[in-house]
Amino acid sequence: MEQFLASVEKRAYSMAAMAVGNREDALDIVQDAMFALVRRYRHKPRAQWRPLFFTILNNRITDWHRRHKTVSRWQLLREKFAGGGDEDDDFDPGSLEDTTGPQPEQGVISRYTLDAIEAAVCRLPPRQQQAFLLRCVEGFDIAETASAMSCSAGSVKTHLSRALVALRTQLEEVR
Amino acid sequence: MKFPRGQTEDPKDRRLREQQKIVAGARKAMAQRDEALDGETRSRLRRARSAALEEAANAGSAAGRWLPVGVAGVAATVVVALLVGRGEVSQSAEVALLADAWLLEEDAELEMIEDVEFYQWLAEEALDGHSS
Repeated sequence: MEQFLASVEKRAYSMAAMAVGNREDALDIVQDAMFALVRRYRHKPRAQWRPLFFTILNNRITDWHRRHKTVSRWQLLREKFAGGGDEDDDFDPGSLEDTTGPQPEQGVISRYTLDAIEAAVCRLPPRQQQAFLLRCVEGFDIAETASAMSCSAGSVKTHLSRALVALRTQLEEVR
Repeated sequence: MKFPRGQTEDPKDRRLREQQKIVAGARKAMAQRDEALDGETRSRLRRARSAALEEAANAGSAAGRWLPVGVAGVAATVVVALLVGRGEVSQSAEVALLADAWLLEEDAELEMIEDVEFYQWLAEEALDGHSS
C-alpha cells in the first residue's frame, strides 16, 4: 500500500491543486483520500486501488467545490448549454486511445506550449477538468471515468468533448 | 503536415490531430508539474502517506487488543441476558437481538459457550462496576 500511495501522491496532489487552486486544500484533499483508501479498501486487491483512489479523490474535489461554491450558477449553465450544436457531437473519445504511446509531437512541444496547455486545463470547469484528466491523462476508460466521477458514460463523453473544444479554442488564441 | 497544392486537410482530421497534440501536451505538462513539486509539498505528501498507513496499522493492533470476537459475543449475550433479567434495559428486545446477531455472526466456539460461568462472572463484574 505504501508503494502504491507513493506512486500516485504527486499526481493526486497536482490534480487536486489544479482543481482547487491552493496548496493547503489540495494537501488536505489528498490526505483525506489516502486515509479513506487505507481505512476502507486496503484489503481489496491491489488492481482496484488505483480506480478506487481516484474515485475518492474526485469525490473529495467535488465536495470541496460544493463547500466553497466556486462553481457558480453561470459556470454550471455554461457547462450545461455550452456547445449546443457542438461541432464535436460525433466525437468519439475512444479515438484518443492512440495517444497512450509516445507521440512524435511530444519531443517538440515547447515549454511555452506546455504552460499554455496546463493553464488551459486549469481554467476548465471542474467536471470537464476531471473528465479530461482521468480519461486523457490518467488513461482511465470511459466506464472507469464514469465510475470515478459518479456519472454516466454519456456524461463523461459530453464533458470530455466540451473540454477538448474548450482547450482547442483557448490554445488557438495562444498560437 | 504538407498537402499537395489545392488539397487541404479534412477539418475532422485536423481537429483530431490538434486534440491528440493537446492530450500529449497535457500528459507531459502534468508529468513536469509532478516533478517540479517543491520540497515542502513532497515532504507533506510523505507525511500524509505515513499518517494514513500508521492509522491503519494502529487500527489493526487496536482490534487485536479486543477480546476475541467469539468471547466478546458470548460475554455480550450474558451481559444482555443479566440486564434484561434485572429489568435494567428498557429496549431489551433490540439489545438482545443485537447480541444474538453478534453471537451467531461471529461463529462462537462451543468451548466458549460452555465456559458460561466465567462469562456470568464477567457480566456481574461489569454490572457492579456500572452500579458503583
